[in-house]
Order: sequence, then structure tokens, then C-alpha cells
Amino acid sequence: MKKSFPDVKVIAESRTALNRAAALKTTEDWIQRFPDLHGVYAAYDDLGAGVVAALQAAKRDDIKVSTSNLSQTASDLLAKGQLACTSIQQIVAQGRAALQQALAAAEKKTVKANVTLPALLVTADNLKSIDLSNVTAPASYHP
Amino acid sequence: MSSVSAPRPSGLGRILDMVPFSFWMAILFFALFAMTVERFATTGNLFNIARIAAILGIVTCGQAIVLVLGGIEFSFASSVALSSVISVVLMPHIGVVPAFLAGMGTCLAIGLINATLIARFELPAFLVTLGTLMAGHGLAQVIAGGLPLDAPASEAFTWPARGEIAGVPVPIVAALLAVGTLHVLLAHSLIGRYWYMTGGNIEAARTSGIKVRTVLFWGYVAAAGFCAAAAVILTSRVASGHPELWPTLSFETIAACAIGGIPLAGGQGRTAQVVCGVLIIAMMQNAECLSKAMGARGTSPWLVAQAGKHGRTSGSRGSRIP
Repeated sequence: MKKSFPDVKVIAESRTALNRAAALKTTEDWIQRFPDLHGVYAAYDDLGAGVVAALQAAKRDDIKVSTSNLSQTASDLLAKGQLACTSIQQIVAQGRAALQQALAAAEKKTVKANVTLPALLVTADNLKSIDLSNVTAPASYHP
Repeated sequence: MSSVSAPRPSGLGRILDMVPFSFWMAILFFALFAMTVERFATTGNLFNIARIAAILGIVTCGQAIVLVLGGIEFSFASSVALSSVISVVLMPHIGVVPAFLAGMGTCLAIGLINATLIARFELPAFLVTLGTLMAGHGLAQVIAGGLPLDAPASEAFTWPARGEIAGVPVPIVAALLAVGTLHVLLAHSLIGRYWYMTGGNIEAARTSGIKVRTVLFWGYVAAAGFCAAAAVILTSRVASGHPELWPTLSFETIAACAIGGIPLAGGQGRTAQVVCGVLIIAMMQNAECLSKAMGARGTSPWLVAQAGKHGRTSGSRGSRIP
């Protein structure tokens, strides 16, 4: 983080805000503690919704919020412009890659020690157009 | 209760006698945090503390009644969660106010189950409320489908948490009303006298002609009433029907009572102790969040606050799930 984005300074982290209400409360306190806060990253959308609720109540539209997971909550917040971005893991592609490795292992072929698949970045701009074929299970899939 | 044998002092001495020890602790903590924690004593932050203390305080009023009765109430956490889920599920169909009333009814229903099992069937409060705690959370998870539900935003919906009455935030007005109600119930009502007697010595209360079952029953129902008011404010605050709304709520109310000086053995406890206990907890939680101690690195954080220049946040770099 420091190497890629030297201008971003992490000023506080919380490990105790584990649900929407706690994230809301933590953000309320952070707004008081850091009047010059620029952004908040939340590990998943439910926390992000709590952060957004606190910022909306305090009328701090200038503080940007990003989260992960692209839930329905996050899509709504993105569409309303209350969320800067969220990310989503390409779980279908991950499953496919994992299965390919497993198959290769079963057939005694060479397997990779590490397979990395990037997450997708979702913003208000690409929310409608983003290709989620590697994220949502195909219609034909029945577990 | 403590001044039964001591001669009653007059004037200032009498007032000082009525002040609980936790009041001086609250003053001490406030002074300590105001001096050591940056921005603790700003108006904005004091309102933050008041809002959190208000919600916790309303529920703690209910817990205080139960503790006076010599019982314990664990199910507040699941009551508010189930209440929020039911409110938000019903809201699109029946409107905001009926949905909130349904949410309050949910809390009262759980309170009635507790009251019936504890008062009528004389089961231990510990087991009964632990059972309704788990059952309530489970039911909330099932109804919500395991995920938090988002409430349709509206002015009426956000009013209980964000509205103001004559410039004072609604939660704080509600908390003042709750504290006033608790004081009247405990110190100036017949049922309050009965609660103290039953909690102090249930057999003595029974033999002196008090219908202890009825007294216990209405104690738990009254506690659920306070919880119901808090549930509406909490639901409005998070704008969500949330199966994990405030999982530690019950324990925080017990802690607030204990810190305030209410013994868990029953028969004792005053409104002033509730107020002081709640304020101490709210101040400590807030100071923890404001102090430099938060933000120590180590395990994976769930929330990260960032300061710095913008403009470099776009790009296709993948983020990793922690």
C-alpha cells in the first residue's frame, strides 16, 4: 500500500467494528477524531453501509468510502453516489481455476504453486455495464 | 435502601448521600478523558456520546428493573435484532409507523414469553432469557435470509434516530423519558416497591401477601417495553433489518448496571446508578475509539480510515479479501 500509493496515509484501523451498527458508531467517532478524514475502506459492504450512514448523518459527502463484495446494498449505494467503489472477487473464475489445478493434479500433470486472479473494481460508471460472468454462477449451474 | 440504619442527614448532606459512588467515577473519567484524549470534549463528540448513551441507557433501564427483581435478562440483543428485521420486512407493505409498532410488538412478545416462563413456571431467568436470546437471533437470521435487509429510505423512517424535538436529538429525548419513567416506577410506584421486596427476598415477599408471580411478570414486561423503544431507534439508525444488530447489547446493559453500582443479587438499584453506569460505558467506548491506542497494527482490520490526496484510487488493481 505504501509503495503503490505513497500519498495515502492510513490514520486508523478498527478490528472491533464487525457489524453495521458498530461501523456506524466507529465512523461517527472517527469523524470527530479526524476532521480532515478523506476516505474509509470497509472490509465488506455491510460495514460500508454503516460508514455511509454515519457520513450522511454528519453531512460529510466529501469523505470517500470503498468496500468489498458488491452486495445488493453496495449496488444501491453506488447508484446513489454514496459509495466511491467496491470490489468483487471473480469466484466463478476462481472455482474454474481451482478445478483445473485439481484435474491436473489428478492426471499427474504439473500444477502451479500459486494462481492469482484479480478482483473486479466496480464504480458507479461501470455498475451497469460490468461483465459479471466470472462472478455470478451461470444459469445452468445447479449444485 | 442504604440509609435504613443511618440517621438522615439534612440539606446538602442528604443530597450528597443520594449521589451514587459511580457519579464521582463518571466525573473522574470525564475529566481524565477530557485532559488526555484529543477532541474528546468537543460539542460534536459529546453529542456522539450522548446518542450512544441514549440507546444503551433506554435498554439499561429495562435491565435495571430485572436486576432489582433478582433476575437477569440476556435476550435484549436478539429482541432488537428480530424487531429490526420484522419492522423492515413489513415496512413496504404496511408503512413506516405500523412497521415500527410491529417491531415494538416483537420485543414485547419476547418479553411476554420470558415473563410467562419465569413468573408462571418459575424457571431460572438465566436459562429462559439465554434461550430467547438464541431463538430470537436464529429466527431473525431465518426471516432475513442470513443477510442484512436494507430499509427503504424515508423521512419518517430516519426520524427516531436522526430527528430533533426542539433542537434536541430524538434518542436523547427518548432516553430522558425512559430515565424519568424508570425513576417513577422504582421510587414512586407501588409496583416498584413490590419489585424491591420480591428481589430482596422472594419468600418474605410471598409470605407478606405480595403476589410475586404477578410482580415478576410485569417486571419483565416493563423491561421489554424499554427494549422496544430502543429497538425502533436502533432500526432507524442503521436503516436496516439486521439479524446481528447489536449482539453484545444485553451484556453491555448488565455491565452498565454493575458499573453503576447495582448489585446483581437483587433488591437494590436506583435510577441514578443506571445513568452513571451507562455514561461511564459510553465515554469509555468513545474514548477508546478516539485515542491513539486504536490503530495499532497487527491482525487484519475491518475498517480503515485514510487521509491523503485523492485521484489515485482508480485502476484495475485487485483488492484481496482479508
